[in-house]
Amino acid sequence: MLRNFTRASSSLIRAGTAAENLSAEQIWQRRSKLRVPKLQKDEQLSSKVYFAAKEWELDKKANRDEGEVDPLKNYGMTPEKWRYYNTIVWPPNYTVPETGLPKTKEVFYCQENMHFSPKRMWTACQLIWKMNVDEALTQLDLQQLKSCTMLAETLRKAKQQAADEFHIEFPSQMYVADAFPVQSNIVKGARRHAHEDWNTIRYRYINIFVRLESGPPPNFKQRFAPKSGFDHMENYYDYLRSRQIKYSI
Amino acid sequence: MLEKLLWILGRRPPLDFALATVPQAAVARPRITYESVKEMIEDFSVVLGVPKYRTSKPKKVTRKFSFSRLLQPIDNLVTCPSCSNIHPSDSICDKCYEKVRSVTNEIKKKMMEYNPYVGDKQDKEIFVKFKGEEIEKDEVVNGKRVIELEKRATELV
Repeated sequence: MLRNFTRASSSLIRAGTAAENLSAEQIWQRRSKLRVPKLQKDEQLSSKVYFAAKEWELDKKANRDEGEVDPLKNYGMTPEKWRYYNTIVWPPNYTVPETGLPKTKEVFYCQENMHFSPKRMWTACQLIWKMNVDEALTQLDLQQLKSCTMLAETLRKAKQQAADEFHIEFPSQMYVADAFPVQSNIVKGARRHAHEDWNTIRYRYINIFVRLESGPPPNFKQRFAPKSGFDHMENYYDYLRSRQIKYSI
Repeated sequence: MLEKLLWILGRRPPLDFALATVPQAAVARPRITYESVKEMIEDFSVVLGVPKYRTSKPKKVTRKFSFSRLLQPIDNLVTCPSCSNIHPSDSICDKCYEKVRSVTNEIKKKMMEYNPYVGDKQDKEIFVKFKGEEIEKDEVVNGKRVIELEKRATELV
């Protein structure tokens, strides 16, 4: 009888801790552990498991221009670099050894040369960052701003790419892991003010980068999950218990 | 330097600051006296509201891209029971209202299609007749002005 009980309980335990049954909180607890800063000597580098059909040429420029590569110039994210991530292939049903979770499906999409200010687009990107894709689309549609309309268009195209190119079964179950604008181009124009006072107008063009990741989104925008009252309580208990009377008789 | 600034602004320089900066013989300026300390401070206050140090780039950026300037997600969202369109709870469904609005505008347009030069007046009550409907009772329409719309009543729902 005891044997049956232990067998049932062990199967239940196994079912409870299987990767598929974890809640969003638990998944993100495991993933947040990787974000804790480590000393370089304590770092354990994993072997290269992924495969890239074309090696990234470090001695050539990203946009295939001629000239020597200077790492201090053109250092931001470019559409070529972003799309390179799409060409990387991971082994099928790969589980990440550090977390024990399956490798999430990622879709990197870039919308090039949109005429908009990067600073204003940034607020729209911050709104939808770390949000489920469908939720992000409804929020953007309800905000009556041009930046939100443009970003909603971009998100829809990214979702379409996920379904068509990457054959992701449920693109609605993805969340926006990264969304940011980068300035690509400035076209200068002139504007006349009173008393023949001329000033330059800058027509800014941006590239909008969006990364969709499969799985549940984290419920926090910070690096780590914010501490609840119970966590603060436990920290306080640890502090109280760590007190020692030094140099006592 | 301070004195020059005050001269430029058209204010009298305070006290005998000339003593500290320039020899008395070189520049002959009238001695200014203030009635009170308050007046002196008021005169001097022009140079007080000035930044002492240059704001660093990180500080500027944190101010410009701070939490108070972020867009807030709309929490009070509700699904319309008839057309399942999502809208804030404190407003009516915009898709449903759009249908009503288009019909209302058509009615208004037809109401204004009268020619006062021929004797038409806006003195009668309006009866709206939708396309496909037949007016059976004369009592309903008698004495009223009938406006015929090309839309069907079912398009409203």
